[in-house]
Amino acid sequence: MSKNTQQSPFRTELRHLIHELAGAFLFGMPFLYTMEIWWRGNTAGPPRMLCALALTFIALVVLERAAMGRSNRSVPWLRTLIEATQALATGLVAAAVGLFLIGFLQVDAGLNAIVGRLCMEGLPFSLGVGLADFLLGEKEEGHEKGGDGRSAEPRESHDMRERIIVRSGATALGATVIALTLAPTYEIPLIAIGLGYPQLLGMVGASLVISYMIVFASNFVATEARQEHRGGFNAPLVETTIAYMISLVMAGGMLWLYQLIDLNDSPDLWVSYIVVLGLPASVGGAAGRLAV
Amino acid sequence: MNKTGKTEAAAPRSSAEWVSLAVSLIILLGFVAAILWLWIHQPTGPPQFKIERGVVRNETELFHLPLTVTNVGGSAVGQVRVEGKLNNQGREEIAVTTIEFLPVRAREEIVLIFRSEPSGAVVHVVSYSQP
Repeated sequence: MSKNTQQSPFRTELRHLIHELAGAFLFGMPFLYTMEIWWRGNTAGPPRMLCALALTFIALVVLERAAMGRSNRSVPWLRTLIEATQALATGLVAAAVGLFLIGFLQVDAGLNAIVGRLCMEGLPFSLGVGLADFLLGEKEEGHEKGGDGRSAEPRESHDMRERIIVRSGATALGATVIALTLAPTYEIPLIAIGLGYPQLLGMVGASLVISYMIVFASNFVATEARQEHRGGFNAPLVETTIAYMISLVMAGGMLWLYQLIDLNDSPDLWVSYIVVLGLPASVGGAAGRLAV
Repeated sequence: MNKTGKTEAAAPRSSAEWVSLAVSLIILLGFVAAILWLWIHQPTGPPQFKIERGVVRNETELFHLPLTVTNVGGSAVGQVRVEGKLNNQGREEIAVTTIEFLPVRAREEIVLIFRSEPSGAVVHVVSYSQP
């Protein structure tokens, strides 16, 4: 009997929530680092905010139905509406966490701007939840829920050294793809100058938790099978930490390449810029490891 | 029909699912309620500014005058230029700073720096842009 079948309903629901949150951060992260989206949130009026919520909800209903159709599940419409409601709420919470981490959910901004930013960022984060269900699916009780029904077992080698090389490479590649697009943007210094050391430490913690969630707790792939590969790099916490270090190195490299940091700059500036870019880079690194 | 030959239930199946749904509904309804409140209490008219003065600090023979600027008008503004004028024994001293962005109901803390004690300075917004 698999472990899944013995899980309490609350544990199953928590795993589902983590799956959705991981999807939200995986797809929403590039939009969190796009200042035009915060600005649009600053100026959006209440009718536009309601419109954004309604459009997101409709898109989620479509995505949830498509995910159910893709996995050949017969689901009543009421259940689809319930799942879309949960996805929208999860997306808004994830967007709030993201905005808080980068320091753009402060009370001084005023209620208009706070709600507007949450609406505008909630849109991509919520769609991330729906896309996670549609594209990546979720392993649940021995069968795939959503996704394309392909095997979710890890396809990598059982040789530990080879696994370490493949995972390190995938992390570096995934982190680079995200860091490349974000490193030269004005958002990195804009976010970094607003954060003190406590917030930067929070961002380090969040980077580790989110990348752990995506790779080891999201059920995008066979999480248990991954965790069974114990020893060395494959211990989840060790792998998450090493992958974060790799992501930080790639983030630092990209920032140097695009001349945002220089050897003559102060260590304070290095640390803040690298940690700020390290958050999306670690999410990119986690996505890279999901692919192997 | 799913792979196990069952049709999924319409309503939540366990207490955990009910809790999850209830929390999601509370979040969404709270969010929609906040938007509706903003709609009902939406300020109207052009941008207006409220400027509050803080306590003057003397640092290395320069006087720092902290100010809190709040947008109490009906639309968001950008590039808000705040100017402080101080008449010091016939010599006029001017300190200026710019707030990048000030949404409706938002407040921003700024500091104007003067060479003389600025308690008598006249402070006002001299320009802004409408994004």
